Amino acid sequence: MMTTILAPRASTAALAGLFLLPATVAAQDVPWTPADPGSDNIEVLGHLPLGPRLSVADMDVEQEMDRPYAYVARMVYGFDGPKGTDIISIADPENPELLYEWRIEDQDLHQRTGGMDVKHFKWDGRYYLVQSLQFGQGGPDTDLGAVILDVTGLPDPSTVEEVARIREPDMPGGFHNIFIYKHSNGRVYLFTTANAPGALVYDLGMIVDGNMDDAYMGMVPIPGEGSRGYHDFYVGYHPDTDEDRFYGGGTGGYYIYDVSDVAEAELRVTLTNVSGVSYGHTFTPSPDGRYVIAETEYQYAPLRIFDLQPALEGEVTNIRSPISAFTADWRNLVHNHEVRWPYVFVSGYLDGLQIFNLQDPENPLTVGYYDTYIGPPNTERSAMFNGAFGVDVRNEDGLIVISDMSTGLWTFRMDGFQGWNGEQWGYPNISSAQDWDAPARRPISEDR
Amino acid sequence: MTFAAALLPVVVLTLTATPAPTAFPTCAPPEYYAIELVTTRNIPGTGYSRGTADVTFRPAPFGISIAPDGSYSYNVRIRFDNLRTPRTGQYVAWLTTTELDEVVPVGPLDDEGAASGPVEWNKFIVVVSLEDSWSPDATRWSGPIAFRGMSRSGNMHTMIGHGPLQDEQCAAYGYDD
Repeated sequence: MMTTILAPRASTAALAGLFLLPATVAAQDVPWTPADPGSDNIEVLGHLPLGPRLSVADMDVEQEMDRPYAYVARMVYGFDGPKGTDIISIADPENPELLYEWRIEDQDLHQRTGGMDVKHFKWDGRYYLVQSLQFGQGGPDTDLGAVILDVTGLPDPSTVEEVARIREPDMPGGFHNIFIYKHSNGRVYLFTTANAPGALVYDLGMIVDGNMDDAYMGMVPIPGEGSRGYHDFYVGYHPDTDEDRFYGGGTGGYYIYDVSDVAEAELRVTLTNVSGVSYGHTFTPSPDGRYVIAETEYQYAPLRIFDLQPALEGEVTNIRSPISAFTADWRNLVHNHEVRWPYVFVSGYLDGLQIFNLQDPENPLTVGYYDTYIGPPNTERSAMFNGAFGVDVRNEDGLIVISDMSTGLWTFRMDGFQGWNGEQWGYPNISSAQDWDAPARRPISEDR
Repeated sequence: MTFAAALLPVVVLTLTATPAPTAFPTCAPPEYYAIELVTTRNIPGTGYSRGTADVTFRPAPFGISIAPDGSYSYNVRIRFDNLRTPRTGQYVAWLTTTELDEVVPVGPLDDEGAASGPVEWNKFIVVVSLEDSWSPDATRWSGPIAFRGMSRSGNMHTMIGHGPLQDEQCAAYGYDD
């Protein structure tokens, strides 16, 4: 029997009440079960297990239909597994095929997790992937932040070639999350977390053209002294201001910068002093930049939805109260998300794929789910960090892809979602998917 | 400083520059000087093998041996329990720096699964690989790594390297069961 879903309409008031209710709420359950893991409108197309539990991290899908490739970061968060990247063909989404495995050399001797986040980009007619790496002290390559592979020749695995490694000797520990943005000036930039009080920015075109020395463009700072820096971010064009905007979650909350000049980032809006938020995580805006979905990384934390309008209109500079929230199972934690307004696709850790609708931003509505992880919380690692880790959506056909820390790669379709173009919904066609071939919106000097 | 005191390091360096003795103390060192050797599960049959690399100071007439660069000079004694003889090839032990930029061959494990050698690094990694054959001229392993172990001093590092998803002990990732 289908039990009442807890999260479909989780306004702020309801959520606050939820935290105040003790045992009666604790007895409620979610509709997904091991025998019936998905909603009727979600179709599982394919599933490719990738190895030991807790060995899969984030993922990325190319957007062009003639380049049907998914990139999956491989880490050792448990006790076994590889450290690198898997390249998977989704030419037939019902039969994902592992094409190529890039591994750090001597991976058995490298400390800590290894691969974490992975993104792709196109530059000068060639396609590349960037794999962020984290290696700990006590082993080699503690200064190695990322590796760049030329993947233009896929699906022929013999053509994959390593073209560069980004190192930061003064910031040991590597890069955690990364984001690649096709800037309005036509350049392609890598934004990355590091053990630094801000997000480091690199010109990827320069790197693959062999000019590593000049590729570091600067740092998007994070306000506050003694900051641990950012955890995750998104960068997108903001039509109402004609600015390239950076949305970062990290120490103290969330921050929005104008990065039209990446070397001179200017703070626009802060979201600090938010109840229950001391360290922001993933942070993604709606296509028009008015609403933002903000994650925090602890058990019981919902995704908070904020309306930035008072700040965008200049009435305030800081927003601290969400207008609503979403969670899958209040006992757990939801993780990364991809916004294809009005839908938000979530990799919900222990609760698998979750999809909610934000057409009414004050009333998030669950519209689909499929639990990719049928297992218990961790006992040897942080309890919540298992299950669906990464999510991506191919705009052209609406293919949904999940990377699960323990069960591998999954491909899905949702009934009625056959692709996404923001303009069809009355919004700018802006998402994490980049239009690599779009011309520059504004000119750029020769030296940048 | 007296002349004798000033001369003492020279004497020590001279004495410790001699080749490593072939016989090492047999008593087990304190736990801090015992490096757990963890299987990589790359080699079938190693799943239940347990190994230890015991670290002891090399004998010296003045109690402590140091290398010409001032580093402590140790003996490393590698031993295994439950180590099956590989179907082909032989296990060879190596010592390497944490950056893997220097490698010292210890040599093949004997029939008892043991090998010994000197080391003059503070932080180092013990590697046991499966090689087709052993040559004293080998400078680095070429076969798959079967076991690994990190010197206890490798656990010590600055907090600069701590970031997201690092609430657990760093060394827990893939080294310690």
